[in-house]
This record gives sequence, structure tokens and C-alpha cells, in this order.
Amino acid sequence: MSSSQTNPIWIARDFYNCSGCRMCEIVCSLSHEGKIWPEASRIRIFMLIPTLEIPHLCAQCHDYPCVDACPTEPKALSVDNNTGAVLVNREMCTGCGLCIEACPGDVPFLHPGDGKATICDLCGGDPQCVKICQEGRWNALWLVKKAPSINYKLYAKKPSEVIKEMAYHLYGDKAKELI
Amino acid sequence: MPRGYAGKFLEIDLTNEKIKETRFSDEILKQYIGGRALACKILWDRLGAKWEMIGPLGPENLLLALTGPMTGFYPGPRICISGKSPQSNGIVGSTVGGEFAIELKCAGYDGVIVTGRAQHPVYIFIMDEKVEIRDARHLWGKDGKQSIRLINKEIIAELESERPRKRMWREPGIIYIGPAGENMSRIAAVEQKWTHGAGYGGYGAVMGSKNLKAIVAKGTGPLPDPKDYEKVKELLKKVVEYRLMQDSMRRWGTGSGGYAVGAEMSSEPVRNWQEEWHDKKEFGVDAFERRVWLKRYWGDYGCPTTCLKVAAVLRGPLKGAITDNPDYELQAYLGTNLGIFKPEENVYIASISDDLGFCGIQLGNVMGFAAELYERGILTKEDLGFELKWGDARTFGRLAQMIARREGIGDILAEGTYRAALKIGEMKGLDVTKYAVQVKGIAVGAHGIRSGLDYPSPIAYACNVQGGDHTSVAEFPPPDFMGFMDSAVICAFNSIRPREIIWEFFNAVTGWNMSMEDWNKTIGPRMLAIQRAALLIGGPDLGWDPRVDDDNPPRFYETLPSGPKAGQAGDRKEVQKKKREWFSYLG
Repeated sequence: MSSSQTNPIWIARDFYNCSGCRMCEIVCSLSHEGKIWPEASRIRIFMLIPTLEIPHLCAQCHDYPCVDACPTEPKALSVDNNTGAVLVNREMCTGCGLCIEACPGDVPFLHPGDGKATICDLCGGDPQCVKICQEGRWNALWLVKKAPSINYKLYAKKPSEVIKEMAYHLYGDKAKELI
Repeated sequence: MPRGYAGKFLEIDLTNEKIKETRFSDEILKQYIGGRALACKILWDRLGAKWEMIGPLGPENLLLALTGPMTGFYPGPRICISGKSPQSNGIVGSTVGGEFAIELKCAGYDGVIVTGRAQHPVYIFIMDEKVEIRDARHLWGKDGKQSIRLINKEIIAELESERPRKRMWREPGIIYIGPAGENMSRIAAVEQKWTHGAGYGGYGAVMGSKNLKAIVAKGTGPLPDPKDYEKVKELLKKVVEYRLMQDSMRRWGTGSGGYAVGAEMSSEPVRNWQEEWHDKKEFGVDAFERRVWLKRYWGDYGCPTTCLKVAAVLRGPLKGAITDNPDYELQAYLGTNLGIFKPEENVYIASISDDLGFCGIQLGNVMGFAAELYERGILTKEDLGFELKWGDARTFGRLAQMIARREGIGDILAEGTYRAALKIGEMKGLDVTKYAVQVKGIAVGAHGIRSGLDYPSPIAYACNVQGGDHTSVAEFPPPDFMGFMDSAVICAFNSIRPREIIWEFFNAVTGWNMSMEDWNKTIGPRMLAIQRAALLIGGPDLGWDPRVDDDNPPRFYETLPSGPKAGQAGDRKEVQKKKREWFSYLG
């Protein structure tokens, strides 16, 4: 449960502000991989319909279905006691993909290099993606302290679902032709 | 191998359905870098000996889509499209922003060389080691928005069906053509993301001539390692910080110019350049902002500037038009040049131009040309099937549709302004080339030279190896720095001062030790020499006589009728003098 963490934080995502610049992906893959590597970035911007950009990253659900689903013993997936991020023990992970299936938003992915589950670790409490997004004044990503009144799991959604809502909201009836 | 390159290029023969990998030696890469300069090398080596005979729209032409070593590392990724240009019959390096270049490089390729012609419409799918030529008959005839929609659905469904499932897949990078390219209009662009076009050169028509609807790339690897990643990271941070400080460019993009360039600099095309001045405040960027902007910042992979803005018309008779907010060029060419001064109407035409896959500059130029001929009674209602009046957005929209589908007068206008002028002149028995505002088959960008208040010099277009291209004009002293940006294949709107930082960046990526001097003295002139030679050989349908064609459009020697510089015109003596200096410098 989120209440059991010492400093639970969350990355709020404002889809309509996302410019699609993907600076967040660059800083994410540089800090985690030491390289520019779009498909290894823990935050991935989906652009299924140009102009409707969707930051896709872990929502840190209160019940962590991905951790539940992890079949190894001990589990490769665990929760960071401090931030509430899902941590992956790459030694333990077998790359079975059950965490992807368990996630309501299909957020985890198997790393294109080592084939292990890959999930946002909130950079240990100081997410680089949020920093650059704020520096650039796009404000698509915000860092907030988790509050008990919010069900963060609601945000664990597939971009293919979200995009319909966005298209109608932004373009009205025209959305029919774009989806 | 030099760093920053994936190390191999794909060569795809559509006639024989053969796919192979091609490599260039370190020496060649060092001498030609990538993008535009490398395109010159490839084209000259393979087609140079019989250049005059190569039909730009024949299977013998090549279509090149090339990255450069800096693409992906330096902010603002672009892909350079080239081949023998169906506009100038020379070589144009035409770049377009978007994710295609990143995906291609992450898939392990620096570029794609397409030869031959497919038997029926196809698209090329590239995913890491997998490269396939696929049926595109179901995509043929589809506009830009529908093409992207269908390709994304198809590719994602295919990837999602793989087991075990590795991830939720996202969209690939796509370069594609719309109906204008399919019908081989010489003013068709190679597009990305609905609204981005490689316009100058007319390479949409080259793709169409090859029955090639799109090239689709998905790469799951990292960018190839640069020589010094720590240095690249440090410089990247520097460039990003610098760009983030360019707040006016970020906030308004170039779209702030639709009013200002006309009203203040008097260098904006108005009604086919009959004027270059207007004072229509209702066309100001503030009006665009309030009336049509939906998104304030829009950009491509790794771009800190995000100078694009998403705009749409959500109600009224023009409802359903969506585009990036017309930048300065398209506010001018699909606005003022057609006598249109309403943001909604400008967005409407721009959206149609995008969807059909036109270069907005060439389209606005040829439609303005047609409207002037109508105004002068040279083209009549009988010729067109309707009246064509300045400011009539709906009719210009209809005309654009006809051009894309080559219906009626559209068939002639689809050839671009200069060739249309020759045909109409023949039809009517009089010279109408004096109304064609173009240089060597390429419509002039929306920055005039007459007022002397804007950046292009009197020979900016006259001596340009890319004809009317306003992004890469003939600079003095040559060569132009844009030629380098087009060869490293990065976005000019992410440049940094001092420019030495770009070279530092270039060297940190490639591991070479090059300087501006190397570009100015050796690589740049070599590229320009090939472009110039190809242009002057030309053929097969048209060639250029340097004594006649190294010149401005006739209109630029007419006096400006209005504005702060009313009465001023291009100065032929000045042009001659500057031309001599330019050519003697180039040698």
C-alpha cells in the first residue's frame, strides 16, 4: 500500500500539454542506459495519432498487480519503500512478460537489450523526465506527493483507450475519421 | 568506421524486388558526411554520366532518404530526401522533420536508396534486420491522415500479435506521399506526421513514379555509439539550454511572421507577388493564437524548441481542418499569396495541402499564378470550370483537389509553376512566364528581395543550386551553412551560436577533427559543384542557360506598388555584380 512508503511520489501527466518532443525519453534512456535509446526509455510517448501525444509510464497502482503476478521466488519485482516505484531485480527476472499482462495499462515492457522487465523507477525520487519537462515549460509531467484520496490505478490505461477520449475532446466529430 | 553512423545503408530495387545492404568507405563519409552532400555523391556516381537522359519520374531515377551522423544526437532529427529533382532536373537536398530518421537509425541503417519501379503500389517496411516490400494497394489514393492511420493500425496489430509479447508497441516512423505524389504532381512533397513535408525538389512525385506509397521504419536498438558520449551529453545539455532560452521562437514559431513580414519588411508574397506588403492585422499571430491554436508547443523527437503549434477549425463551414498552425511560409503562400487573410481559411487550405501531400509553398505559388492569370483574363472560367478570385478559400481548396488528382486545369498546374507557364503560354499563344515567380523550376520561398529589408540578398535565389529554396539560399561568401545542416541532417531551427559548438558536437559524435574551414573550403564547395553541374546539365524535359536562368523571376524587377519601399525594385546591375563575385569566389 502506498501509505507504507516513506516518501510516496507520483508523476502527474497532462496529456494535452505534451509536445511530443520526447526530451523525457532522451534523459530517461541517457540516465538509465547511458545511451539515447527510445525503446528502452521507461517513459514512452505514444503518438498513434499525430498531435495527440500520450506519455505512458508506470502509475504505481495501490495494489501493484505486476508485483503480484511476478512468478519468481523471491519475486523479481518489488516496491521501493521510499517512493513507491516498482523495482526490477534483473538477476531474478526471467523475462516471462506476466507483469505486462497483469498491468491494466500494459506499461512494463521487456528491455530490447537484455529481455528483462523494465519499469519506471522514479529515478529514486528525482525523476529526470519531470525535470526536463518543467525546465522546458511544457508541464506535461509534474511531480506530486501521493494523496490518499486519489486512485492512481485509474491512470494505468492503454494509450489506445486514452486516445479516443483525447481525439473527441480536441477535435469533436472529426475524431471519427482519425481513430 | 567513423562514429555516429549505423554503418550501413539499405538499397532496395523495386523492379526486381531485391534488397541489399550497402556501405560507404570512411573516406567517402568523411568527404560527403551524409544527407545532401552524400546524396550528391551517390547520384553523381550512379547517374552522372547520363544525367541528361535520366527522367526524374522514370524508374532509372533514385529516391534517397538519408540521415547524417548528427541525426538523433543533435536536437531536431530530420531525414534528407533527394534524387534527380522533377522540378529543377538537378539535385535538391530536401529535409523533413519527424521520427522516421530516429527509427531508421535505431533499426541499424543510415539511409535508404530506392531504385526501379514497383509493379503495383507498395510500401517498404523496415524493422531492425527485417526489411520487406509490401503491398500498398489498399493505401493508394488515401490522404495523409488516412495513410498514417491505416499504416499505424496495420503495423501495431502485427507487432502486438507476436508471442511472447514483449511490449505494447507504438507507432513506427513513416515517410509517405498523398494523392499528389501518387499522381506524380511535380509539386508533391514527401511527408511525415500529417503536416511535415520535404517540399522543395518535388520528391513526392518521385515516390509516386516508383509506386512507392511509404517507407515505414521501426528500430528497437539504441542510436549508434558516438565517439565521446560524455562530451555529446555535455554539448547536448548546452544546446538544449540555449534553445530553451529562445523563448520567442518557442512561443510563436515562425508563424508570427504572417503579419509582420508583410507589414514591416514588405517582403511577403501578396496575390502572386504583385505586392509584398499588407496591413491586415486580422492576420496577426495573436488572432491565430486565439482562434485556431489548440496546442502551444509541438515538435519532433528530442526537439527543445517545439516551434510548431497545432491548429484546427472546429466549427463553421470549414470545420474539420487540422494542421500544424501554418508557419510563416504557409501563412504567406496559402494565405496572403492567395489573397486570404483569415486564420481559419489559412488553416483550411494548409490542412488540404497537407492531406493531399503537397509542398505548401509550391502549391500556393502555382495557385497564385493561376489566380493572377484569371485576374488578367488569360485563364477564363471556361478553362477552369469556375471563377478563381483572390481570397476565395473554398475555390482554392477545390483547385488543390483538382491539382492532386490532375483533373481539368489541375493536370497542367500539377506540373508546377514554370512548366505550367510554358504549357499555358503555348495554349494561349503568349508568354506568361513573366508571371511565374520561380527560379529553375522551383517556386521562390516567401521572402522577397525587393524591399531589401529581409534576409535574402539580390542573388539569394538567382544563384541558388536549389532554385527558389529560401532555407538554403546562395549566401555570400559561399557555401551556405544550411548545406552543412542538410548534410549532418539536423534542424536549422535548433542551431546555436557560436556555430563552433555545432562543430564541436559534430566531432564528439564522429571522432573526426573537422572545422567550419573544412566545410567552407572543401566539402561545401564540392557539394555545390555537383549540384551546380547537375542543374546545368538538367534534362530531359528542361535545361537551364546560366546566362538567362541565373536570375531572379521577372516580377522581382517590377516596382513594389505599396508599402514602406513602394517604388523600389530589384536592381539588375547589382545582381550582375554580385553574381560575378559569387562565381569568382566559388571558382
